[in-house]
Formats: sequence, C-alpha cells, structure tokens
Amino acid sequence: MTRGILSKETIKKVKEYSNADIVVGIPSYNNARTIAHVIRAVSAGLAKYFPQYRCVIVNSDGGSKDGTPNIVKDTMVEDFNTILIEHPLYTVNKIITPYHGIPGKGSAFRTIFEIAHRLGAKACAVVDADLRSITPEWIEGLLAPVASHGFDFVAPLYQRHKYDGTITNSIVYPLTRALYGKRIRQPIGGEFGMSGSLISHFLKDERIYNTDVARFGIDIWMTTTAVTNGFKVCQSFLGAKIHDHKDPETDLSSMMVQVVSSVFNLMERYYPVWSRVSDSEAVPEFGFKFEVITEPVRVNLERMVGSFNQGVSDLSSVLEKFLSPDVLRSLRRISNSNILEFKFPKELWVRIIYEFALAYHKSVISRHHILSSLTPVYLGRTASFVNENLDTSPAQVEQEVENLCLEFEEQKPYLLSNFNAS
Amino acid sequence: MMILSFSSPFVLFGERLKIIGPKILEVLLIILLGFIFAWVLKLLLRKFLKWIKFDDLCDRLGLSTVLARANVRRSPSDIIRLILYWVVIFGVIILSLSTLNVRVVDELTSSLLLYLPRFFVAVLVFIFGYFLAKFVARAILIALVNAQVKSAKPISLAVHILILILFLTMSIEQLGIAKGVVFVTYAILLGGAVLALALAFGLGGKDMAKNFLEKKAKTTEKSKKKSDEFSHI
Repeated sequence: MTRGILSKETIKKVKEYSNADIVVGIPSYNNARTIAHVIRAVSAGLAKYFPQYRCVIVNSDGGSKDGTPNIVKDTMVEDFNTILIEHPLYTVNKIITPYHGIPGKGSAFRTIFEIAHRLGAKACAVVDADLRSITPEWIEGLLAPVASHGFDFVAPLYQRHKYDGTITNSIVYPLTRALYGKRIRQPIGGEFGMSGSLISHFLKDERIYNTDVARFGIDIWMTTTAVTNGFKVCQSFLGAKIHDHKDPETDLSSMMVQVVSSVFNLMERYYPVWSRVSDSEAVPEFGFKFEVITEPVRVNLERMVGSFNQGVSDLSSVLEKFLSPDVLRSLRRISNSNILEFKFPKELWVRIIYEFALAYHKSVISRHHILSSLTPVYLGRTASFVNENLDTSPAQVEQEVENLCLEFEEQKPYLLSNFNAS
Repeated sequence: MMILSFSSPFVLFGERLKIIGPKILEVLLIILLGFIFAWVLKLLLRKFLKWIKFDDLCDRLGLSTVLARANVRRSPSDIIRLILYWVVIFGVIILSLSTLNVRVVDELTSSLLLYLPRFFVAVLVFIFGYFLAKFVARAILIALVNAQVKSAKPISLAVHILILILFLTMSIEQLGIAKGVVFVTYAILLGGAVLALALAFGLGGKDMAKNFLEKKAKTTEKSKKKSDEFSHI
C-alpha cells in the first residue's frame, strides 16, 4: 500500500499524537461560513459522548482560498461546562492537512482514512463542512453504533425537505436497494461512521481513488463496498439536514455523471453479488426519530420541464442508440404535455434507468455521453415528482419513494436478463 | 532458302519463348501462390475479427449504421477481409510483373507502390476525422442541451461539418490531388465564413447583437434569481 499521500508535516503530527481511539474527518473547500459551527459541534459531541476516548479531528482541505484551515485552527469550544456533566480525560486534538490527488471529496476522505489508519483508530466518522444543522448528537449517532455495538458502517438517516436529495430519492437509493437488497435510505448522505477494519479495507484498493470515487462517487462506493463485502451495516437518525446554500444547478450534469457512473461501475464489479439478490431487507436503525420542520425551498418547474422537452427533442439521435422504441415514444408523448399536467410515470423512469445502466455496461456509445444525456430526462422526472407532490406531507412523499423502490425491485429481472445477455 | 526465310520467325519466336517462357511460368506461379496466400490470410483474418468481436465494435462505433445508410449489405468484417484480399492480390500481381524486368512495367509498379502508402494514410485520416467529428459534435450537443442553449442542434451540426471538411481537406492534401486548389478553396471558404459572421455581427446586426446580449444578460440574472434551492444529492 502506498503511503505517499500525506505531507511531511502531517506525518510528523500523526507521530506526535501516536494513536487515537476515534477520528472525525471533515473534508472542506471554501467553507469559512460554516466550518466553525461544524468544528464546535464535533468537539462538543466527542467531549460529551466519548469523554474516555482519545479523539482527533482531521480537517482535509482542498486548497480553500477563504481561510477555512485558519478557522479550523482557531476554533474551540469555549466552555464545556454548559454541555458536560463528565469532563473528558483527553483533549481533542486537531490535524489540519491539505489533501493530494484528484481534487474532490473522495481524495479528502482518503487522506482522513490514511490518518485514521495510522493512528490505529477503532472508529472514524466523516461529516461535511457545509452543514448548518449538525449538533453534538450527530457524533454520537455516527460513532456509538461502531464504538459500542460492533457495527462497521453507519449510514445517516435525515429529515429532509420533500424535494431535497432528488438524485438520492429517484436513482441512488432505489437502485442500490434493488441491487444489493439493503434498505439504506441515504447511501450518499455525506456523513458516515466506520470501524477501523472497514477503514483498512477502504485503503486496500488505491487505484479506485483515480476514478470518480475521488470526487462525488466516494459516498456510494463506501456504502456499496461495506454492503457487498459483508461488513455490519446500520443507519442512524440524525435529524434535519440543512446545508449552506449553494446554487444546486452548478454543474448538475457533472455531479450526476460522477454519482451515476460510480453506481454503474460498482454494478459491473459486484455483478456476482447483486445478481443473486431478489428482494430487500431493512437494516438496524439507531436514534430517536422526530418530526422536523424543514426550510421551504423554491423550485423552477418551468425550467426543468423546458430542459426535459429540449433534451427529448434535441438528443433523440443520442437516446435512440440505447433506449427502446416504446420508451422513446413515451418520452415524446410526455414532452408534448401541458406543464401543469406534466407527469412522468415511475414505471417508465425505472425502465429508463435500467436501459441507461445496460447501455453503460455495453458501452453502446461513449460512457460519458450516455450519462450526460441522462440529465434532461432526470430533470423531467424531478419536475413530475414536484408536480405530483405539491400538497403532500413528508410521510406521503416517503411513501412515494417507497413505491418507486418497489418498482425498481419489480423490474430488476429485466435488468438482469439483459445484463446476462451481453 | 525460301523455307528458311519462312521458318525464321518461328525459330525466333521459339528462341524468345525459351527465354521468356520460364519467366511467364514464374509469373503464373507467383500469381497462383499469391491467390492461395490471400485466401488463407482472408480465412485467418475472419477468425481473428470474429475473436475480437470486430462487428460488435463497429456497431458500437456506429460504423454499421453508416454502411447500412450507404446501402452496403456486407458486414464491416467482410469488407475488411475483402479489402485485405484484393490488396494482397494487387501486391502479388505487381510482384509477379516485376519479375519480367520490363522497364515500363517496373516504372509503373514502383510509382504505384510509392503512391500506396499515401493513399492508405489519406483513407486513415478521413476515417479518423469522421469518428472525431461525430464524437465532438455529440459531446457539444449534449453539453449545450444540458446548458439549455436553444440552438444546440445547429451548433453541433456546424461543428460536425467543419471537422469533416477539415479532415477531408487533409485527406485530399495527402493524396496530392490539386494541392494548392484545395488549400486555397478551404482557406477562402473558412476565412469568408468568419469574415461574413464578423461583418454580420459587427455592422449589419450591431443593434440586434446589442439587444440580444442585453436580453441574454437580463435572462441570466433573472434565471439565477429563479434557480431551484433544493439539493440534488
């Protein structure tokens, strides 16, 4: 295993701390607005719930220009007395390090894993630096199942706005659930807890960090690797997830390509595993579930439908290379409908995702072109989802997602038979 | 005397046949062996192309569709085999003729042999250009559609045609056909198109361009204000 990804200063720091029981990693890039809050929540969480453990916070930064690492260095919890009954035995140490490799979250995670591995950490958690809703309880939620219950991988469970996380809700969650048979609700949530042995496993294949896994693909890779390699998996309720606001339209297509290509690549790799799975099962859950009022969000339905209509019309020469004629006919029919009655049936959506997966598997055309052409179709499905759920409650929306998952499971034989045939 | 003068052409023919006969036999033998060699090569190539799934690859690259559009009923592997077969036969014929040591034939074969590499390079350049044009045009089309640019299709078509013209020019240049004419025509066409566009935007459509850019800037600002606030991941 190559150990050249850490800088000399970082190695020196690791040697100085010698070992740690728990490592919490925070990947960052220009998160000056929120990272202080995240650091305080993590420090308080470690001091409050793991006072007897030696803990290290690792900030793996991608070259922030807004002084993020300095904020991490200067941030501390001023007064633990207000939150603690029992005082911690050890102070929480910090390592602030730049990461090397392909710029992206995956490379930042790799650095965190490497440090956790060198420190011999028994448990490790990672949390995003742009979180506004993180509390000390998140740290307990992510680490306690590993530290006290012997789990290897803890996925997050959030209360999110009904329109939030649409790639998760319409592709990644239903597809991974149908493929691998585990109902992990937020497979690309961003916050995870892991055991030391799983960290070592993540570091085994260093070539993986030269792929889209080094970017947005890291989350689904971690979840799938944990599930398919027989690690003990659970999920933990953390409450509401609220990010720092950023324009979500910023390069939606490349984000989509990175996430979906990772899912499809993992399908290739773990075909022997998912081809034997025919239904799904719940995974153990931790945390006390409660209702949270999420912030209202603005949706530009007209723009999404416009993108879909243009995609179906202009990309027909691309889509007809791998979508069945009946699917194309259905898409054309939908694209002619009125915006207020715009409806994209879930059965059609599932079939489209499976046909994209098959096209990717068979490399019908350039794989990048296949995935890039999914964006307008995805926006059409998202617009339909918004349209259908304008007045529904979060519980009803959750039921909609559940129905979509069942549809993915029902149509899985179609994917399997065509995957076999190639 | 008369008999002698009558028979002399036959004697001469016989003597010449004695000299040229083995050479003709040699030519025929080379051609026969060449045909056998070409046939065996064709057979081996068939197995090899089948093993590497050449036809599937051509399907993926869209070459089969191009052939179907051109009403070519043979499979791509069949065409490759046929090309190789006739190239070998052609080579064998040239080789066999060179054994005759006839000056005109020698000159012809040597100039043909010198021209062959240029021909193959020209064909390769054009094939490469064809696929590159297709790939780039498709990438541009998808990127523009994702950016919701309304004229995505005509832009990608223009890029496709431009790349094809560029590679066609390079191929013709390689073949050495009317070198200067092709180059000058291409330069005039491209320069003319750019100048026409510049004039159209700069003079004719000055106000229109101004209005368009203002409208565009306003729309971008408006759409930024109207952007969705939910996270896709």
